[in-house]
Amino acid sequence: MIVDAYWFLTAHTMRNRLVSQLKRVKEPRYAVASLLGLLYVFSIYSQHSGGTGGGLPNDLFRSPASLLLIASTCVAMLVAGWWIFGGDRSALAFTPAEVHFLFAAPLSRRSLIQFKLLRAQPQIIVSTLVWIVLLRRGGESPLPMLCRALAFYIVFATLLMHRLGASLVRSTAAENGGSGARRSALPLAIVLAGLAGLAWSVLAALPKLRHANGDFLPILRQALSGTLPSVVLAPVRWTLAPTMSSTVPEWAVAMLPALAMLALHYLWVIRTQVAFEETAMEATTKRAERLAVRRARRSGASVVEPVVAGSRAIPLAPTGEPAIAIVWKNSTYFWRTMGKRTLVLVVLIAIISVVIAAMFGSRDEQTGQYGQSALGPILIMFTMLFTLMGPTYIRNDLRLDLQQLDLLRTFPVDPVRLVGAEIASSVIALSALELAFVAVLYLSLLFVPQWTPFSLSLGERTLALIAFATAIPLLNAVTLTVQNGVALLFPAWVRPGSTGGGIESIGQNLLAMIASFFLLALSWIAPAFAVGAVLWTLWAMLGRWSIGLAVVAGGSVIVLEVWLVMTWLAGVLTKTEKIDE
Amino acid sequence: MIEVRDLTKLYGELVAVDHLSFEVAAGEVLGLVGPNGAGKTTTLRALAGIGAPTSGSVHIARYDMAKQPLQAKRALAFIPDEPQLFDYLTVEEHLLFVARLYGVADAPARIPPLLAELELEQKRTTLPGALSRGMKQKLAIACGLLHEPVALILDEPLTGLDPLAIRKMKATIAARAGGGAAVILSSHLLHLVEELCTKILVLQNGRRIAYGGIAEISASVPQIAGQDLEDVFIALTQGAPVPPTP
Repeated sequence: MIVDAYWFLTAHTMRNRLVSQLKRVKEPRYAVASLLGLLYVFSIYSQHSGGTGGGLPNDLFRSPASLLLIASTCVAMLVAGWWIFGGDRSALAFTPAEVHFLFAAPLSRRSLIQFKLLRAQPQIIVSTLVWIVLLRRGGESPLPMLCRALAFYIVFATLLMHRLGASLVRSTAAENGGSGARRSALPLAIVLAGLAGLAWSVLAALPKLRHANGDFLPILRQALSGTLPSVVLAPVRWTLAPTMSSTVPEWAVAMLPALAMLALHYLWVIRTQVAFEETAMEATTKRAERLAVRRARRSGASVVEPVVAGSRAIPLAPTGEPAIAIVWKNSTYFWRTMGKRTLVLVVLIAIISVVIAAMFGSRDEQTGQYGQSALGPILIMFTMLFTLMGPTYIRNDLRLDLQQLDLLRTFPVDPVRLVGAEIASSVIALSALELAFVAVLYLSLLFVPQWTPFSLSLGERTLALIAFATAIPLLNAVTLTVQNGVALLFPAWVRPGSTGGGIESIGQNLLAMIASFFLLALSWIAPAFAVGAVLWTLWAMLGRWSIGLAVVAGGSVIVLEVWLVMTWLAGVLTKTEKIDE
Repeated sequence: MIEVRDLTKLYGELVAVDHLSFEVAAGEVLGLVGPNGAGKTTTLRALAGIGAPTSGSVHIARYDMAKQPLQAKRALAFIPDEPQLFDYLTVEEHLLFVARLYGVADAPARIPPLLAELELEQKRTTLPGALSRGMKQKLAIACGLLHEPVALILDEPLTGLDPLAIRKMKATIAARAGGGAAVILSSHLLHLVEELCTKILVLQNGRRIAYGGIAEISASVPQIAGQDLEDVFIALTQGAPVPPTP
């Protein structure tokens, strides 16, 4: 009965999803996204299929025994982790709909587990295909594709069942009281004994490893090839062996113990009669929350992290410009979710930068002076990092409120000011972090002026700091206006929605990224011209001091640009709507 | 106080609201009812300034929502069926936020009694994530009432409330109307509509099929004259009278 239910659910889900995706492809934007996604996947595949390129290093493949040993040890550690840390509860997760319909249905626990195993099959098959593509070694592998696929399928299926079994035994121990604890005691003891055996073998080889001069693989291999580790790793080795086989007869022989392991795992899991419903429901809820967060992140919307209410961080007067309330709201979010820790992190990075500059900066042996440009590259590196990563990381703006656009529209706030306040929120947060970073560097240089980059005097450094403090918010305003604009203008491109996914989703993400970069590049043209024009005109007269005027000119163009775009976005915000009924 | 003239809303070919006109005077409570998909939410969204109508006009406290949206919105409170709250602001911070948006100068004095009225005093520093569905609904209502709007639009306001809270909420709505606010109440709970509303507007397929006092509407269907609103509603929307439930 459960198999019929599974096939009904799977067949109808796949058919409906396919039909809906084909319908969407009729629209040009989804067609383009699908095409782009296909091209991307094809490019990945072709990268791994040409000649001898891709895959694992060849010297590793020339020694399948070493590879098998390393893989067995890694997998054994993974499995041990499932047992020691109480089982991975997510292995027991169903979808909320499955919990709703199946747990209330007249089905035995065995049927539920069978359903869980059947539901995992597509995931196992996809994992198998991905690994075959990733490990493809052109014409090198003598094994036919089907043999390799079967070998990987057995590995993934066995591991999945082991993870499920470990979860059933360990995670439900608390749910089942004393009987659960007793049931988990024996396997846990076996796993711990096995781990102790492996650790003993490696510890015994420690003196040799100390003198290995970096060549420790042969020593480790020798240590793990002893009788005790061989016995401990045997079940994992049997499971993995077919994937490492070099010939078809060798593969066929290796498949027998691997199939036996698979069958034993199936019997073990299916015969485990424990009450797992509560654990499964808890795992289901947590997985649903994780998926919601992941989906929101993928959509370009900001994700509301769990927050803890503390004392009110920022005061807000009840009267005054209403748009300030938006900035206050978003800043409160930033401060409560990431502000404090990010600020600490940035200051720490700045201090570490100074220390690194001191440690690794070039030093004149004769004079004892540090090289003067040691901080320069660090400053440039972090400026790039902040510029590229900052707008993605700091998202307390319209992206935070994408799901509540309707609520925003009911506020008695002028739409241009509303959009401005939203964008200003993330500009303030990002600029504050960047300025904190630069301020720490500036203050450090007051005490250790010998590390100053680009031989700047104190006056020039102060001017640079003022120019930086002026320019950074403006530059961030451009970048964040683009980011918010893309999220608002192309929600369907940025947000694949719950039915989207796969190839189309990959294509949409690529398009959103390309659009952001294109618009950003476009927005830099006019300010760059303004800066260039001022420098070209005034450099000869004012020298470095003309930089300040250039910043003012570029800044003015940016302000104008941002204001125009915000006005346009405000119109979009007012008009964008959806059908609710 | 609330005036709607020839309101029409099209979504492509779909006519969501079709030449709808009505008005709600100060102190009146209008019940907006209709089957699912009748156009109630679209109408309420247009009234709240969330979605612009394709044609027609909406006036709130004499301000045209299309031409003077800020003034119209300042006079209005829209409380949606699903409370929309910010997960990172506490109960009290929500009210402070709204106070700033609407320029409520005496917010510090208004907030405590409002929290007491809606039984939220103990939750002042609680985040929405730790509130029950009913508490969230109460918070959304508190946010709507803080600036003492002269027009109040409530979409399914009693969803998720316990019986005691429902009674208090009904008293709150009646008190606001008694204080001179024009109230529009959309609900499928017809006994609530019957109890609270002075006028009823029945929508179907975006069109007004009945409008007026309950007795007036009831009299328009002679077969079931004198029956309760539920029977009148079914008769109107199904096109034929149905036997009343015993």
